[in-house]
Amino acid sequence: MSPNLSERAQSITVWWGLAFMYIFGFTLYWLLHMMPPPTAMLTEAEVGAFYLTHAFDIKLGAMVSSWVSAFMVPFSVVAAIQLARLEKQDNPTGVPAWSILAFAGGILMSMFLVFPPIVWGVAAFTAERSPGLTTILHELGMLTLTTTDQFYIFQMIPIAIVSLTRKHDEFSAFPRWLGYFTLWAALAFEVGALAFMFKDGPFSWNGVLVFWMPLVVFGSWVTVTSLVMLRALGRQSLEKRILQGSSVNAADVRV
Amino acid sequence: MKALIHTPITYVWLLLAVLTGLSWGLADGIAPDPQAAFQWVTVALMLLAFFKVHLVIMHFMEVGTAPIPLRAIFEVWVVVVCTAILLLYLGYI
Amino acid sequence: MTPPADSLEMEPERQDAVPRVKRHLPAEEGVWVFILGDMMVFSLFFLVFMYYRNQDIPTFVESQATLNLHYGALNTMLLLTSSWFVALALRSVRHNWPTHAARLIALAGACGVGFVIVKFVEYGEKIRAGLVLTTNDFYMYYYVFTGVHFLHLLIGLGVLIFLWFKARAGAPAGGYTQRDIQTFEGGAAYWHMVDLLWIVLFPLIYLVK
Repeated sequence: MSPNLSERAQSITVWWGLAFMYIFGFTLYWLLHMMPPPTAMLTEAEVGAFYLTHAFDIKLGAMVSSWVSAFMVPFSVVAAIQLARLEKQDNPTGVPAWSILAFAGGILMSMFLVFPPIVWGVAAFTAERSPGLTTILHELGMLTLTTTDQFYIFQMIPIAIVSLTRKHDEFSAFPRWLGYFTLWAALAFEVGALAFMFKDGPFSWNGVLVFWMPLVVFGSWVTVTSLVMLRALGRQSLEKRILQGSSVNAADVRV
Repeated sequence: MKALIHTPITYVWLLLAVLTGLSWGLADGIAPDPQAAFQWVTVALMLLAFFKVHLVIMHFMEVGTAPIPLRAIFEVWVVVVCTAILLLYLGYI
Repeated sequence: MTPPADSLEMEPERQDAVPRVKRHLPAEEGVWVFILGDMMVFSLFFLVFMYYRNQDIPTFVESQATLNLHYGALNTMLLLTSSWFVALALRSVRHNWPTHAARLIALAGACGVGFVIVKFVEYGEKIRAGLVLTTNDFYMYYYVFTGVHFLHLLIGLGVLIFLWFKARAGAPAGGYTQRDIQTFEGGAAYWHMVDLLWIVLFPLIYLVK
């Protein structure tokens, strides 16, 4: 049973998600001024001043984010299709439950990445309001970004389980090592929730273990998983073309 | 059972246990006296710990006989992390 | 791919006579991806601890004095012994002695449970004395780093239980396959990692003066 989305369309979808993730990252840095994040030690007046100074940038960043921040949606669709491919090998008519869980987890993950720029945008929208109110919004945005990594496991654990328990052919998008890599990434996110407890040090929202480590782990996990999926999609599409008897260029056969 | 225990792994374990006992006694003995050469005892304890880590990696994890690249990564990890900790401790970083 | 288990593992006693060892990658590649990744995360923990310790040495030295180093040292011994049992269990598996392997894994698990009990007693004492996560920086690192290690240990106990069931099921006719041995090797390597991370955490948190 083949998916309605062709391998080529799936590849484009993966690139779509990957490109948007990097645009989102740059937006976080250049426009939203949240990477590195302002320290959690700022007073209300300082937060108010921060939003007054950067009001235009942050509103622009929120606008760009509206377009790109849902990058986990296309990624999750292709991941679910490719997981279902492995799940359905043994049982073609069964419900691919892990793929559904991974998809739901990916969409949930997307929400927590979409939400913070909106809240910062709201904070900057009327930056001249009472600084106390701006601070609440700022904190809501920062803590949503940093403390929600733990929800990502609902996508990552199914990926790891399918990768580690199913049979693989040379077209598999989730080889076993990727399962272990995914487990590691899920585990490395677990300290993020500590940001609720601290305003200073490595566990605060701008700390090395709550912000920077998960940022690097997340960025590399999405990038590596995307590239492995793209390689598998290349092989799948090549196989399909060979089976259909269409001409195959020698240049295509280096996947 | 005897044939099972009679292996280099057992001697490695004995060595690890002796080293642990040594650092246990060392740390317990000098702990409260800041006038003593406490700094060098700390350095010795750290070196001892990373030597134990080296033993565990090479003999228990069997990285000693694993392909060279894997072994190299682990050796580098041990040396780099141990050095960085000691440099931070001694105030060079 | 991994070369087949070689004579090196089958006859370690006579190994000295062999001039060149045949290199063998234990477990599958992915396990090493996981282990090395985790060791990177923990080395970051170690450096963060030392860096912030330098910012406020008196607090760290004072708070460290309230720790009971005997708990930490006892736990080091327990994990070392546990690792030894697991290494022997792996040896048994390679010799196709699943009964021995199951017993040794159970002993390793018992040491792991010992670690859990000691840790509970220790955390309990500290919490009753009013020393919690938010007491000061030292206790923050103490709870988070030993806590994350504890989480790894609990996962490791799960792995040991899985391996115990696998060993109890006995070797398949014709002996363990390469794949079976790889599974045992992977679980063992993970458990040794839990051990070695504690070997560093213990002096770092309890002993560094």
